[in-house]
Amino acid sequence: MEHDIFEIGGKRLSSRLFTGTGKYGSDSLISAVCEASGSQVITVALRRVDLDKSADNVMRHIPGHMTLLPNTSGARTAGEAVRIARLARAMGCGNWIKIEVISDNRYLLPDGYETARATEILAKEGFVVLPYMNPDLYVARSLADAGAAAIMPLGAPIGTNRGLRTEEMIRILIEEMDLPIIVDAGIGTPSQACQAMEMGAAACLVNTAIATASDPVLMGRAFGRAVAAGREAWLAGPGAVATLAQASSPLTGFLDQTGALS
Amino acid sequence: MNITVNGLALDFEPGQTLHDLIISMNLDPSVVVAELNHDIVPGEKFAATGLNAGDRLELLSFVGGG
Repeated sequence: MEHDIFEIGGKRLSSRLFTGTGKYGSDSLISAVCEASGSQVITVALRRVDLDKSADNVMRHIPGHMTLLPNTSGARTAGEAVRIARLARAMGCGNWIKIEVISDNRYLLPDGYETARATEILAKEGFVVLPYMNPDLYVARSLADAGAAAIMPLGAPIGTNRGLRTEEMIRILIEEMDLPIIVDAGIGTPSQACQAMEMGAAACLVNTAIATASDPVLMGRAFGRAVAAGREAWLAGPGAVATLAQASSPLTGFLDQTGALS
Repeated sequence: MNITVNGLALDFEPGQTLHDLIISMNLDPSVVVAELNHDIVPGEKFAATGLNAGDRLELLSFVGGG
């Protein structure tokens, strides 16, 4: 597996697990999770500085070798996403951006039209654009046309840990799209991440399931292994599925069957 | 003079630069990004950016997110 490199945005990644920095009980766990999971890409959000208290800075806990993937969370329109992306780039931590344009506060579902508009503008400005999206083939095509470097379909609503509820639609994206498919949102357990990778996803982004585990570092390690295992299974090519039993042992050379117990 | 910082009207001594203001608020300039009257100000220009009464300033930083 040493030669299975995921190339995206000019980077060569040996891990296909992307992680997040939200929801940790203590941000001091983030560095250990990065190490245990092997993740090389990590998301952050951009927010107004709290002027009333000097909060701990999350950047202090992110190892220097990580590729930073800022998101545009909080954006409700393409224009707001573009504004946040430009500010994030001005922080001097690279040109990757995860587009999130959401105006639905109940299920946090992404707005495909606004997401495509933001993707087009930012891709032209030289960003490596990874849009969070509903797994819809036509939205996927519009994002590809707009210059996305990969697309990030949701498995289930953000933070729900409900798994690959959109499995069939993600399978279609994997089959039909040339872009890498990075399953984002909803993955709750390592087995679900493994399943996404077995289906041919290029990578998985996992935040809540790791950050809210009782032991985030151990869960990070489990996710790292599950994603790698699923990737290996995809590369190995699973055997055929059958309805009737197919004997694994030879059907010849049996003992004389007339003998009875005595 | 009054400057609106992150939506709050605050009173500052005239003649300060953006860098001075950030330091006076106990913020680390290296982890802050600024938007002054809707224009992004890169970190290397904080010290050369003067402030005027009525300016609208946004100061942002990275936080945990997914």
